[in-house]
Amino acid sequence: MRIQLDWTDPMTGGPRRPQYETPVAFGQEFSQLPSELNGQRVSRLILADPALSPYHGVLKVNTLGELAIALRPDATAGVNGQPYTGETVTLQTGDRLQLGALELTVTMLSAPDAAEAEPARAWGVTVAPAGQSPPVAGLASQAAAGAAPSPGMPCDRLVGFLFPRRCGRTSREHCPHCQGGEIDDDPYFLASERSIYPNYGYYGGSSWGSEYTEDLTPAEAQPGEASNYDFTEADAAAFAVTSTDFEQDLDAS
Amino acid sequence: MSQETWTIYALGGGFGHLQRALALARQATRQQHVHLLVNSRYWPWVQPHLTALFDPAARANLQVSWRSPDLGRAATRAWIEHSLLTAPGDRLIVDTFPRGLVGELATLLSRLPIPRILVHRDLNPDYVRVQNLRRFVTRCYDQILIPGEGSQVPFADLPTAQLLAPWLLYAAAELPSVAIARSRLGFAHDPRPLAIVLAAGRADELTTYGQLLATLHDHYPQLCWCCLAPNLPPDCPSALWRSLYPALAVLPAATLVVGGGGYHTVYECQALNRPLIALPRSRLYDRQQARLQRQSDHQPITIVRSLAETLTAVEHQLCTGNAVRSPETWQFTSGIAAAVAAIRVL
Repeated sequence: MRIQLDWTDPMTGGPRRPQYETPVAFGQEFSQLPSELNGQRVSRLILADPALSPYHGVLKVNTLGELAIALRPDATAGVNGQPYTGETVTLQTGDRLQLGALELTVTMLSAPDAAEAEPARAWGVTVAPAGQSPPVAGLASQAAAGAAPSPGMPCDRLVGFLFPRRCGRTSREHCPHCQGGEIDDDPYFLASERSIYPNYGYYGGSSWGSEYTEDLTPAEAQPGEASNYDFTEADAAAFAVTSTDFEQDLDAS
Repeated sequence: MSQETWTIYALGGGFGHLQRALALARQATRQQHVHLLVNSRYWPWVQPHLTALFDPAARANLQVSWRSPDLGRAATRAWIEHSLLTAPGDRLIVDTFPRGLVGELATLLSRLPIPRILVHRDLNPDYVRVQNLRRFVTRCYDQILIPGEGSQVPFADLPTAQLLAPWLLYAAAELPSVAIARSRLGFAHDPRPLAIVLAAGRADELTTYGQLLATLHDHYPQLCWCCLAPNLPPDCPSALWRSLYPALAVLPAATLVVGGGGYHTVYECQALNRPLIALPRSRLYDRQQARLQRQSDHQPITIVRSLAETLTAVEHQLCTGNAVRSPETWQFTSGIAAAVAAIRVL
């Protein structure tokens, strides 16, 4: 989910209206904010207010698809003037967050608007949906559409399953992964598309992420079949040396 | 004045090869003739600026031969062979590609009985391995100069290697003040700190920089934004585009630089101690990511991979105040003078 936060910069007195992709970690210290949560890339918001903790909390989408704020232990905040601590509170567009002396107004950008206004999509940023594991085919389409590269910009989509890496293509032509943003429901693709399972393999504090196993184990599977994780063509490509490409391009650098 | 002629082979895309060659030529033409062989797409745009880069006497000692990169491999190979066999000069200086951009030097070097110097910018280790370049360089080059890239590049441990400071077009004393640089860009009367987007690299990457500038301009109006590019990037507001060369001549005006991880972007920001938000680009031979990671220990660099991360990085620079400081003085040493001295005594 893409959100916009509006507040007045206390240093300059000017308005600030940055947009972020959730989850958004916020606090005083850039170095203390996580760059990833449950395998998702995190937007980091620095708020230079002495009342805030180095890592104060996070804005994220909960399992119901709602925007929520979660605070770190001992951190405090207010929502629409009401102080709260501890529990997770859901937010709506227009809600006002009080963080120290700052007041931030939240705007959730709806999906169609966000797709038009959000340059990050045009740049091929892969945005793994937070929280639950929705139906596989729908999520695959969503992930692929968000990952299509724009001219000149390396595709940021993760390809490969056992050895995921950034795609890096600057053109959709001949791309076997998102094919210009259109993906069919080929079972092989779905089983080898790591971005569909953002939490797979990440330790969540008490257990390892296992959506892959749960989503792809067929009802009629025999014991052991669910562990058949593929080494994909994209994995193999990660180890290939393209020596034949050298000394061919007169525009290379 | 010596009548020596130095031939500089600087084929390769983008600005880097051309600009390193011009930096060397600018110093060398004060005492000898220099013949440049280049094929950068940017040369036709750079050419009119030579009169500002070279004083008249030095300019008279400079000859530039250019062919388009669209010429084709066979014709390019024939052009280089003809140039070097008919007029090799007294020193051959080869930038980056020991075997030539399309391998045309591999059999040619042994037919040139003159001192050969390799200018060693970083190089893809896969290429070094599959072409057995260490052996080739050891056998075919008398000297290896490594301007700025340090000891982690593939040939740095060879006995003829010499580490130098980065090669920049200007010495520190030649750079304009912040006020003059802002004036050259047309922002003399704008009180806001100035952030510059350096749209170097490949022509097809201009779109990204145009989108980037337009977004940054909308998000952070407390900064004055401008984009340096040879041509107006798509989506870039034309009022914010400047077609100036070289960038170093106006870079003192910047309090923040956004660009790629190419040679000059990185080392010019280092020289002026300007914070750089860098999007490493994928190249066949250059390793921008490695350069940025290596240099981030020595200069303020934030490596980003997307527009979202770029916004976060600018946000961080604003919060820390780094994006609004503009030191009025700088001290750096270009490796050019040492290089000319080293080549001359060879």
